[in-house]
Amino acid sequence: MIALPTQLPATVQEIQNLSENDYCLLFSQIWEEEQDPAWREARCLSLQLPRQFLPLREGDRFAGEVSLPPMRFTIEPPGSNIGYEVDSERMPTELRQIWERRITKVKARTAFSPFVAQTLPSDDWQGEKADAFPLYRLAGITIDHATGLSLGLPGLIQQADGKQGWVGASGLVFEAIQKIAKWYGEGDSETAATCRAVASKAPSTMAEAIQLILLLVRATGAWNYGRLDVALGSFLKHDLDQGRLTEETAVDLLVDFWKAISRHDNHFNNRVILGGLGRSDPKASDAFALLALKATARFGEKQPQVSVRLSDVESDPLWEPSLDCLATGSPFPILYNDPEIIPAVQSVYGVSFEEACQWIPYGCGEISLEARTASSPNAVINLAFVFAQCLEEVHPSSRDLEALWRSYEARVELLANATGEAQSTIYEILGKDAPCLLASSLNVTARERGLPLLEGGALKVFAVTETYGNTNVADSFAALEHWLNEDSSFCLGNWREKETAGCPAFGNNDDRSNFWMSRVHNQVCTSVLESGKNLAVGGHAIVWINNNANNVLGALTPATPDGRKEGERLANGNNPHPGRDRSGLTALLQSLGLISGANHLGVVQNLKVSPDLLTKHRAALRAALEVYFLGGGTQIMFTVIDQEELLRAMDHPEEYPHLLVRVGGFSARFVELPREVQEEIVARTAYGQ
Amino acid sequence: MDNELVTGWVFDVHRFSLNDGPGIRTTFFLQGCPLECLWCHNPESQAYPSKMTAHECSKVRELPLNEALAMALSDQAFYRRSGGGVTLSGGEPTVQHRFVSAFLHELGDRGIHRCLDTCGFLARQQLASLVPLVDLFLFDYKATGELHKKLMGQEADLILQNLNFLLDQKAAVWLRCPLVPGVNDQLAHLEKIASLSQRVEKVTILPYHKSGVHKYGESGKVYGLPEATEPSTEQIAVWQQQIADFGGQNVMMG
Ligand code: SF4
Repeated sequence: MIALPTQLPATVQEIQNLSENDYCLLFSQIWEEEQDPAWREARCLSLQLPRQFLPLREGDRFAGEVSLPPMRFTIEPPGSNIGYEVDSERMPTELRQIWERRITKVKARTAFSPFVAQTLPSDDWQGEKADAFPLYRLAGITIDHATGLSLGLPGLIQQADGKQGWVGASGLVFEAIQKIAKWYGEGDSETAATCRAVASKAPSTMAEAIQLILLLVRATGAWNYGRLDVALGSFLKHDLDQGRLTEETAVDLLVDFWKAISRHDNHFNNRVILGGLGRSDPKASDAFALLALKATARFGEKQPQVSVRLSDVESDPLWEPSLDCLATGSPFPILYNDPEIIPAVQSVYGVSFEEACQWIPYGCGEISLEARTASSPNAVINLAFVFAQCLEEVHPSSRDLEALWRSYEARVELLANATGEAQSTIYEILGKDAPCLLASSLNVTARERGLPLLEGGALKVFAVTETYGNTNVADSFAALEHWLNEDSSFCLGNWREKETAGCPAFGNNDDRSNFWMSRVHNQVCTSVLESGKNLAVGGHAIVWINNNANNVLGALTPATPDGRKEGERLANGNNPHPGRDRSGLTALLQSLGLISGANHLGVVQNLKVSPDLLTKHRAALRAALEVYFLGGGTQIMFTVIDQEELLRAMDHPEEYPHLLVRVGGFSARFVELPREVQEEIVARTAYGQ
Repeated sequence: MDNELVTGWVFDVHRFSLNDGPGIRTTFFLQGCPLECLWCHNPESQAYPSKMTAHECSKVRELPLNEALAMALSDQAFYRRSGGGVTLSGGEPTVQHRFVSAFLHELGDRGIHRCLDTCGFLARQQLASLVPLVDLFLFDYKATGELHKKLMGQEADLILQNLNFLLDQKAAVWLRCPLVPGVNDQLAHLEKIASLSQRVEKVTILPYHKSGVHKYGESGKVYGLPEATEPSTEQIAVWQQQIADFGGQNVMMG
């Protein structure tokens, strides 16, 4: 018998005071009572949001820390989950069974076609041996800061007032956020005063604007902050003009903001974007960007992931300030090349130049259009696994490399179709389950069109598939080709007997490894783009980013002819397999630059350099990077480190608590990484020493 | 001889080299040297190509000119952007005169900036033929007076005469001076460096470091300066002051 709490809570404090059981019972009851998806989501969030925000900690300048309750609606919780979901350990036993059928992820899995279900049988990408997996989330959502900041909470509520459908329902959610702001506003701290202001009007200072951004982003369940120089540039200017802030106190405020952002850390997100084309007031934005970079250097942490879009590779005013920040040992900013990326984004998403100018990287480096697209990477293809299986099936005495290529290619095409279709279904089921009220109300095109994000509101809904092991496949083909050419008795089945010394390897800018890398990359890009043409969603594209999946997937992948042993990590994004690049930085950059912006939605490159390249030899480093960008490179991220220091830190972690390194699409404290990841980072070639 | 058939004996190639002249450079290290500096970091590079031991042969590669050129050209965009180019170093590159002049010719035809890193111990005629082919000489000057013969195995006279010749020819020269505490850092030498600094574009002092010592063990040679120590930062500052006091100009610590 399920007993509901006798008194329904009305205030934030009352909701916070509920027992976990009572909270779940109420959430469940609302879910049952309300059949309309928009109002169901709105009412569920009116209970959930006041529950999930945590009281202010002593010394915090900004409010907005969250901890998800056991029963919730979110777009991108930690892990692979979407929409309505539960933490069954923490919910009343009597609800567990009922809720199994209500979980959005389960509905999506059940809705897969037989083809998808058969081709992608498992969701357990971290534990099962397979070549592809679906993921369930709505990652990469950013919100329309301009709307939020110009209307403020009262304006957002007012705009929804009296409206039908999802727009009307969103008003209820904004009211809940307003209540939370008021709750934070109790007391006489500076933070409380800021929160009271945010509850009662549109922000007029940078501190208020930051506070509102934090509340809206966290309530939406988003993990990325988008173009903060655009959002906050005018507030900064105003505060400086009014004498409310000095440059020094503005940096202090941004350090506090960065601290609030980094409290909510899943390692892979919290992107802040600075610079680039398509900003309404570039001067004010650049002024903000300069202080943001100073705050980043001062904060010295692995979050937020500050990223700079260089709108002009030769003369962007953010170049030197970016290098100054990196010179402090920070892994930020990550640098992006606008002139290469914008046309590519136009072509992949099929959007105008103006729309493409609103591109931003999120998470580990996937490209979205700020507050306009739904383009969550909801599938993984492990190309090295595909390759290893195809090689296993080849007749041992075969010398036919092209036949091996054809079977690899066919499997990739099949997986492209399956992952595309799976993602289309995931979007469809989530869209039916809920309009994603905040993500939709704070989306530029969804607002204009009056349609929820996944039901025609987003400028583009895209299936996005993460690819791994690409370098290992290219190096493996190059090695097999090398052995076939040099040894007429070599058969594909004998590859285990061969040494890889002397084989071409990606990262050295030689013809054969370049050929294979281009071939492998273009094939997967094209197959996936092609598969997108038949989908209900706007398209399908790959990303070639990295979180820790190169290690996780590598552990489940058989040995490959490039010299990678069974269970060994895969190469990390568009990079050589660690340590195989032996021909100097110019050769490396030329290899990396082979992968232009075309045909994908994000590729990442890591570069490990010694500190003297950012100080004594900065002009040379900048020249090298300019050549790389002008030659087609899209992005580069740095670990600025003394190789000796890394080795010492492995032995004496206690002495190096602050050593920051770039792992893949994310940064980390070196000493906190698992040993195998530390070893990977040490094994990467260090440039400049 | 047709340039296509020319080959060089090369024991290493560094791409993205930042310490052998201006900008981003590709440095080719050529085999063979007429000197025998006690502190030589590359003792294996001393033997002339025709007299290499099996150990040396295993490390040295016979590189056809067209391959060397292709290697150099692949980084052309980097040279252009950074004001860099190609450096021929060694050993003593001029030992392989034919390869060096052919290579320099080809590079010049393609507008690539050329540095020649030389110990200065070569016939005047040979040096004269290289002047029009080199954009910048990196010229080593290592000891003054009697000591030169003791440390380098040859007198300093020819080297100094060659340096004067280059300067008379208005060639661009950067002087490179390794300093080893207690071995070649006498005041007379520092004074000489200071006076030469007034005639060259720039002087780089290369404070001694022990990084090459392990190669002696590998090659079976005996290291001539077992007692030498790396200078402290204070010591380097003292040298800098002393050279400045003697009127040194444009003297950098490398
Ligand atoms: S001139 Fe250079 S290569 Fe020749 S012996 Fe002296 S240090 Fe070694």
